[in-house]
Amino acid sequence: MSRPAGIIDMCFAAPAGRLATKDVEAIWQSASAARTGVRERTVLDADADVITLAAEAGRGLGLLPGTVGAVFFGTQTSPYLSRSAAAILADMLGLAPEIFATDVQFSTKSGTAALAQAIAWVKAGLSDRALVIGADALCLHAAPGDPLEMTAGAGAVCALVGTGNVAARFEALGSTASDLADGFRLQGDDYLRTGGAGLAGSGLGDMRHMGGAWTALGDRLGGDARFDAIAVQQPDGRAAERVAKALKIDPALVSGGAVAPLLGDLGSASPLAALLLSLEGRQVGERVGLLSYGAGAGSDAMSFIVERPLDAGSVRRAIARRRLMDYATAVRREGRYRMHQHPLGVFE
Amino acid sequence: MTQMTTARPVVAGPARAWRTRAARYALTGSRCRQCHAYAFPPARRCAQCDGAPEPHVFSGQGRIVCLAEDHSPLAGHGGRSRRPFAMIALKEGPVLMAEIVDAEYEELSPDQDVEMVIRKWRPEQSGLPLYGFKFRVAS
Ligand SMILES: [Zn+2]
Repeated sequence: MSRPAGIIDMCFAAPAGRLATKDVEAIWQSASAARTGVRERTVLDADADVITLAAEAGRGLGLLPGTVGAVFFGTQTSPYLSRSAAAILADMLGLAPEIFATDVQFSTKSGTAALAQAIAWVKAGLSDRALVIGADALCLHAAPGDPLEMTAGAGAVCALVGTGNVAARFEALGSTASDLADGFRLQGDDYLRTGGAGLAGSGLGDMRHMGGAWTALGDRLGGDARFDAIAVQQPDGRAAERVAKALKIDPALVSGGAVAPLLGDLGSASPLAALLLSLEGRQVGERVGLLSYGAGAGSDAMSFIVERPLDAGSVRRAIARRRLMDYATAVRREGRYRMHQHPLGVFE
Repeated sequence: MTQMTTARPVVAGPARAWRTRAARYALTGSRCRQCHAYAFPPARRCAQCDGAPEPHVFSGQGRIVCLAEDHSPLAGHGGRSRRPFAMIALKEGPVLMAEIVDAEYEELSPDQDVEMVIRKWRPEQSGLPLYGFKFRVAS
């Protein structure tokens, strides 16, 4: 019999920089800012990456218990193709060197994939505590003029998972995955690509995989499981609503976790940030769902029972720490033009 | 074991980068075993009593003592031509210099509370970024 496990605490971090989507629309006239439902998206600083964002979220958890035995770092936008972001983070958070560390990658569901692995890890008794990161900086990988440039932001969530003193007790998992090239980035290419509007609009990727995972979760819980809130992946400001409609979920259940309208597409951090918001102010015993999507394609659906509400103050503080900038400044900050190599240059 | 070495933001080889990481990542300084005086960067001998210090991880909370602006015409920094730096008194006592992020010089003033963040300093010899502490206005 495996041990009850769940989320003990969570903390969110995002860059302060903001770019208004209507500014991107004015430059490229390539897509409609209004249709994305994203007013502003985050802009990553030249001296930041997913590891520094994860470190900020991790430090926000305060002193980590010595029983943390593993770090699962979920991201698709690590600055390194082979160096372990999890190992660097473990050292930054004072957890190295006696630690199991690994990077986890499945497009924008890397964070929930890391969470599922960490829960399995602590349930198996390999250590009492494990750290989970869901972080992405999609803004660095959006082609100029691509619709993704409007919504792609950056953010990180750090979650402490364990077997005692849990705030959200893990109940069940349903997942789907199949080979569907609706979004990818090839080696040597800086930019994320989609499989085209036809494929994206067909629902074969997102709706079918999320629907399948949600049904699998429901089967595991038994037919009449009722949810009090559901945290959904938010590639844009309207996605959660679309998913709710397609899956016949009450839209009121998904609205409490909205992060995309003010911060943009947070990639692997998106469903976990929504989960943190959804776990705030809940009653003990309520059921909260989590539903992610990663291009490629796959989806994780999980359910949690609230044992203690969490404080989502880190999300509100990140939203409040806002520095609006124009398009040219955002492009410079994110270093999205290939420039001369300067021997004394700093990061570009 | 924490390394008792200083953390200066210089272009560094991988060995130096490795040795200084505790100070860069976690503000690991030292505290005297005898008179409990704090030091950052970590001291080999206590400046007050010559006692033997032990490693100490500072909280990262501090206050701006004074400010300056760096106008050095280096390429990089996301195209910014100037960046604020401050002398920061840590809550525990030691004073250090660090860049202030998420703010322009004009928005900052002495006595403001600041908190540590980790950002990239500059590349080490191999091209890998050297990560380390910077500060921002406390939330
Ligand atoms: Zn002393």
